[in-house]
Amino acid sequence: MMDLNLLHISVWANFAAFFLITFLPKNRVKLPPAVALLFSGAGAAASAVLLVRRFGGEMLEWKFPWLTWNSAQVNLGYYLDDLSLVMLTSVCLISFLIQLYSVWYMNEDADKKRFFATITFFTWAMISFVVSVNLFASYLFWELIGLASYLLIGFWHERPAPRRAAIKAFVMTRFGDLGFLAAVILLISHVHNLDIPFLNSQAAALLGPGELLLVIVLLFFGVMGKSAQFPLHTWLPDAMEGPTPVSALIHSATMVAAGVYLLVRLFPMIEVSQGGMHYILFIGAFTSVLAACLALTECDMKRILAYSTVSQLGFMVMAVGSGTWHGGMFHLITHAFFKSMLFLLSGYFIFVAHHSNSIFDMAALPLKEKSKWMLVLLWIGALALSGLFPFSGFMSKESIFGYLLETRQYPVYGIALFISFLTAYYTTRMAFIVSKNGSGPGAGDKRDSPLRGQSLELRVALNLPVTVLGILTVAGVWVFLPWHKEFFHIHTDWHAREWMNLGVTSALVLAGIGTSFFYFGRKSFSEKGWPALIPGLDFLISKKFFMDDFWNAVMEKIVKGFSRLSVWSDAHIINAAVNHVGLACVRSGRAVAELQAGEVQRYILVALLVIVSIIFYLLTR
Amino acid sequence: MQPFIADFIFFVFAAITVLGAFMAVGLKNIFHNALALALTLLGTAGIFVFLSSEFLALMQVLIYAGAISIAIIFAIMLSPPLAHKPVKRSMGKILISLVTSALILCALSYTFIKAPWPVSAAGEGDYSVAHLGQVLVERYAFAFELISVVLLVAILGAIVIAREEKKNEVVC
Amino acid sequence: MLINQLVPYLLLSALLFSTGLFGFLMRRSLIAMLIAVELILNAANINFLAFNRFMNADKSLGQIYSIFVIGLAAAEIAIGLSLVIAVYRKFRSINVEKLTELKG
Repeated sequence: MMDLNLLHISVWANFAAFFLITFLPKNRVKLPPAVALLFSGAGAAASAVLLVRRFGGEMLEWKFPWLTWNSAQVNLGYYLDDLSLVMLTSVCLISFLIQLYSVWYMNEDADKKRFFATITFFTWAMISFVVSVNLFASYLFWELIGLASYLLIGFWHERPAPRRAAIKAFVMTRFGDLGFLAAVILLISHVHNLDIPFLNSQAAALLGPGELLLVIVLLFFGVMGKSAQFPLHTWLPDAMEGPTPVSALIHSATMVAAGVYLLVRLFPMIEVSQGGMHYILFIGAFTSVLAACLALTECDMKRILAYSTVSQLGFMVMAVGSGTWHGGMFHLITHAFFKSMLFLLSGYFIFVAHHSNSIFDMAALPLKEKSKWMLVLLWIGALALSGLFPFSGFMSKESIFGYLLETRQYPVYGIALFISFLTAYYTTRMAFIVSKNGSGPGAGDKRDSPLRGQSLELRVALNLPVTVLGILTVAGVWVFLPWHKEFFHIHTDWHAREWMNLGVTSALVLAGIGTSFFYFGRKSFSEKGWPALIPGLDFLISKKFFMDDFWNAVMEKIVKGFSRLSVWSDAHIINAAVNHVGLACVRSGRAVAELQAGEVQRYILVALLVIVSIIFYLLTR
Repeated sequence: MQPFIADFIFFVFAAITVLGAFMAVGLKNIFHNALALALTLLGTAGIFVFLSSEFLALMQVLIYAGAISIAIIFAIMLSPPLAHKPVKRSMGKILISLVTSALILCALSYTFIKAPWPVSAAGEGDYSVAHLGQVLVERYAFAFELISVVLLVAILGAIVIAREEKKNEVVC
Repeated sequence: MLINQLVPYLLLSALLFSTGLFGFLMRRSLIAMLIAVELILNAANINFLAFNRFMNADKSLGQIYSIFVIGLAAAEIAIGLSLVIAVYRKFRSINVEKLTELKG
């Protein structure tokens, strides 16, 4: 009972915050952040207690029937096993830290009320999605996540670029959601019960192999949209137009995580279909390599991080598709922590660089003197993302590598290694360039801090979240290792294969870092590095592999074609239907009016025909 | 009279009746129609004789063939010839009228042939005009008076309706 | 023996009736329609007398009915013809298809 109450608190705290903030007076600018922090802090604390109390224990299922039609029933409620518990806690924790950081970041923004209301709503939707027992309810929250992300990406709607980015994100994810919806409909018509435990245990048996494959492909379509998989990945880099805390939230714990989480959640069902698994594996690997290539020469810090997110998500999807949902999930969690930290840091650096996103503008700043701690954290995050020992990214990637090697999926292993190399390269490129410590304005003046004039609370709001996330990135995995190694299937008894694996991956990561150092670490550094040497690659990257153009063309064709179809159907079907109903009335009226033409003989004829029919009825009776 | 001869005469009268009816309906000239009607009425009078109602046959010839058809012929001849110019007949109208009346004919014939008529009191009885007149003024006196009034009113009404209206005069 | 059976008379009257009906439905002239009505009345008369002959004990009853029918036919033809004349005066036509003043 206690656990259920804790679960209630952690789920509904953010909604309560959203609700309260909505009704706060507009002139009390300090209240919305306070309310948001109070409630989401309570939610995070409740979820942490829940994690300690329940992890490794039995699952908690609490539900009540909501909709019933024919034989199908939709329940509402919670489904809390180890998987959703881990996800719940990280979402609660990360979103709390990000909201804390938002206090600093949004300090000067006028519309705090709207921001905090939306971000708490976003968090609530994500948490509800995570613990929802029913796939139909999951779908509803999935859509709410999409809506909230639209509102947040387009938060600065006065400017055109965020507006466009928000619409793009919304349309692209909606495009994928159609697949999810179709899968839900297909499941409800064939399985009649959308409870996730039921789906995982029974659905594969109830569906034929073809239907199962179709369901998985459709579901994965939704995942493609939300988790920014090829070819629906183009919205994510553009989503950088939103406020940085929003980017951090979207890229770590909510939104993009939802897609991978959905895959992991339904893994027992998906696993049955070999074709579905291969499809997922292929898309994940392709996305991962493509996005990693796009990140190679990017100069916008947030965009580098965005492409790395797409790449890492592809990596997770690939891991899930290759069969290790533990590895995918593990990487999702560790990635959430260090990626949110990196985004928060990027927000800081962009602030320091006078709202420029370019890493070369940051390179011109004397960051080593002014923001030493932030640089240290940046390096921690970058190395974790690269997957270097002993950071958390190493652990999760190692888990995936180990599994791939163990199951002898050597091609996938090779691709994963390649991605790992590219990741190490572009991440440390960013870190090397940002930490160049140039002699920009304010160099040499020790008293001139970037945070000059900001109060203590604000400094805490900035430093505390990134520090906590940094500590978790370095130490978290090791502290919790004995505790969750069962859950994440982590080997501790290492043999030659594991050692070899460690050696190969570390060597590749180090090679990536070394290459990066060769091009960007020294006094004279190039801007683009080795991709500029390969003919064509640079051009392709600068055009983003033509994916934006592709989608523009597709959208043009689809939307315009659909519009034309709508116009046509309006004119020829709807309008014509209305017209013909009217005409039919007029014509039938005219036809009946013929009977009343005033001609005596016609009246008599009708009367006689009636009499004849009566006579014949009586005769043949 | 030989039964065969009686049948033959009956058949002749029936043929005259039906043929006259066809002509009364089918011919295009309205004057011919009226004459054919007179023929039919005479034929019917013959049928009445076979039904032992000689008085009625007489009345038929006197009133119907003598008065009514002559009245119709008068009306035709008195009205302007323009009104009786034969109009073109529409095939559709003929067809649907034919179908309707054929259906009714079928229904009637079917019923007449199939129905188990309880033929009782056939043949002999008092058909005399004396008996008829007696019954008419005794038992059916009221109906007799009524039909007389109807005839009177009809004649008066016919005069009123057919009278040429004078201007500024209210006609009731 | 046709003449001592009921059905031949009935069939004759049915034929007469249908012919009258056909004329009534088909003809455009009002006078022709009146003629058709006379045929129908004659068919009725034949029926009255036939049933009187074969199915009635009191042989005067059917004859009286027939007399009344003839009387009514006389009245009807008088009124009908005067109406035709009145209609012709008003509409300059006795074509029934043109007399559609009362149509809805």
